[in-house]
Amino acid sequence: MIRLIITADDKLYNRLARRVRAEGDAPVRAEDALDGLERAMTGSPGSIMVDMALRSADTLLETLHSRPETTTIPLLAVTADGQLPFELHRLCAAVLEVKAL
Amino acid sequence: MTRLVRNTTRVLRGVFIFRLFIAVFSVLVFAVRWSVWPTPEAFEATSLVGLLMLPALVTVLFLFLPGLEKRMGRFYLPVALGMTILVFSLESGVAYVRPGVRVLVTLPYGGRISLLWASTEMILFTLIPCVLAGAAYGLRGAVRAATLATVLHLSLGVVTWLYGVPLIGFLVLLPLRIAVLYVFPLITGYLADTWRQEHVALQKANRQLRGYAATVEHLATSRERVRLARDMHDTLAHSLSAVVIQLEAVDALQETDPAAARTQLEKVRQQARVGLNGVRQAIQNLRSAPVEELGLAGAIEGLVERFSQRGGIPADWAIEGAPVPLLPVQANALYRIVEEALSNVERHAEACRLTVCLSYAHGVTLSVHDDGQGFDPATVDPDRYGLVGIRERAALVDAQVTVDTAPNEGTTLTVRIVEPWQD
Repeated sequence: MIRLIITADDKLYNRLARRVRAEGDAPVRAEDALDGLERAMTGSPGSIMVDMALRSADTLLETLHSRPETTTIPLLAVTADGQLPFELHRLCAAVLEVKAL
Repeated sequence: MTRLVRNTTRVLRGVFIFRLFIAVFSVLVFAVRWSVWPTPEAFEATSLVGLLMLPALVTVLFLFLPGLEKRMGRFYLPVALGMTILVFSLESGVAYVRPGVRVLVTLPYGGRISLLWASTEMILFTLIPCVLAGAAYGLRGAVRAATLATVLHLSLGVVTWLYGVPLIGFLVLLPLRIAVLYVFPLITGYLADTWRQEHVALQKANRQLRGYAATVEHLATSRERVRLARDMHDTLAHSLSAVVIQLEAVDALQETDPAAARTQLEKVRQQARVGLNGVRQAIQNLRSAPVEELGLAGAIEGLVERFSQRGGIPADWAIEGAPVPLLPVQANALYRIVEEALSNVERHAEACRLTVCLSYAHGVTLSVHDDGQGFDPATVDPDRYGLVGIRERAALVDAQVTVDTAPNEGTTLTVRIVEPWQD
C-alpha cells in the first residue's frame, strides 16, 4: 500500500518513512501542500500523513477531506505536541505526536 | 444480495424472451424467405411436445406474473431457476428422443427446418440458469443447479431408453454434457463466493472504521473538555482565588491602615483585569472555528474589527450581492487568507486606511486594499509578505489570486472563486 507523507521536513519524513516501510508499505513524499494534493488525487494512497507545521496544512486537510477523490482516504495529522484544533481534529483518523514517533 | 437476486431474475426473464424471439424470428425468416407458414399439418407433433409446452407455459407465467416475486420472497429465485432448468432440459430431451418433433416445416425443395433446437444446443440454454444459480448462491447453488440439470438429463436418457431409442449416442455425449453443466456454474459460483467473502470483509472493515472514527471523535471531545477545564483553572480559578485573598487583606487593613487598603484594592482591581483578560482569551480560543460559528461574512467582519482596534487603522468592510453558499473548506480558506493579508498589512504596509470587500457578483470575490507603501513585485522575494502561503491556500480550493501593487501606491489583494464548490 502506498502511504503519502506530506512534509517539508527531511528529518520528519525519514522517521515516518522508516515506520511506513517497517509496516510493509511504500512511502511517497510530497514537499508542499499543492504537491501533496496532486499526489493524493492521482496516486490512490492508502493513507495520508500531513505535517501540520507545513504551510497551509489546515486548508490542505480540509481540501483532502472534502474532495470526492480523496474524501475516503484516512488522514493522519502529525503535530509537535499531538494537539490539533477540534475542527481539524475531527477530519483526521488520528493525530500523531512527533516526539512519539 | 437483494439486488443480485433481482438482477438474476431479470436475466432469467431475458433468456426466456430471447428464446421466444428466436422462435418468432425463425418463423418470420421461413415466411419471408420461403413463403411458408407453420401449419398443424407441417408440424410433426407428438405427445412429447405437449409435455414440453405445459411446463414452458407455467414457467413463463411464473416469471412474468406481476407481484409473484414479492409475494414469494427468497423462495422465488430458486423455484424460477429450477423451473427454467426443467423446461430447457425437457426441450433438450424432447429434441433428442424424437428428432422429428424438431421439424417445423418441410420446405418446398425438401429441406426441413425446426423451431426446436438440437439437444446439444439446448444444453447451452440449460447452462444459463445453472450459471445464474452460481452467481446468486455461490458454489453451493452452482452444485445444486448443475446436479438438478444432470439428473434431469440422465432421466431423459432413461426415458429415451424406455422409448426404445439406442442409448449409444446419448452415452457418448453424456460426460461432455455433465462436464459443461458443472464446470461453468462452479467457476461462477467460486468467483461469486470469493466476491461475497471480500464484500463481507469490506463491510466488517467499514464497521471497524466507523467505530474508530467514533472513538477518535469522542477522544477529541474529551481532550477539548480537558483543555477547557485547564484553561478555566489557569485563568478564572487562579484570578478569583487571588482576588478573594487580596479582598480579605483589604478587609483586615481597612481600619488599621486605610492607605495600604487602597493600595491593596488597586492590586485587586489589576488582578481582576488580568483574570478578565484571561477568560476573554480562553473564550477566544474556544471560538477556534469562527467561520462555522459566524459564517464567512461575520467571521471576516470580526477580523476587520479586531484589526482596526489593534492597530488603530480605520477599516471599511463591505459585502456586495446575495451570498453564495460555499463549502466550509473554501469559506475557511478565504477567512485564513484575509487573516494572513491583514497580518501583512499590519507588519509591512504602514497603511492609513484599509478596505475589505466580499463580493458575490460573479462567483465569490474577496479584496483587501490598503493605501500603504506598496512594493515592487519584480524586486520582492516571492515568499515575502506570506504571498506564497496565500497563493497556496487559494490554489488548494480552486481560487485565483492577483496582487496589484506598486511602490507608494498601496496594495490590493484579490481572491476570486469562479466556481464555488457546493454540496
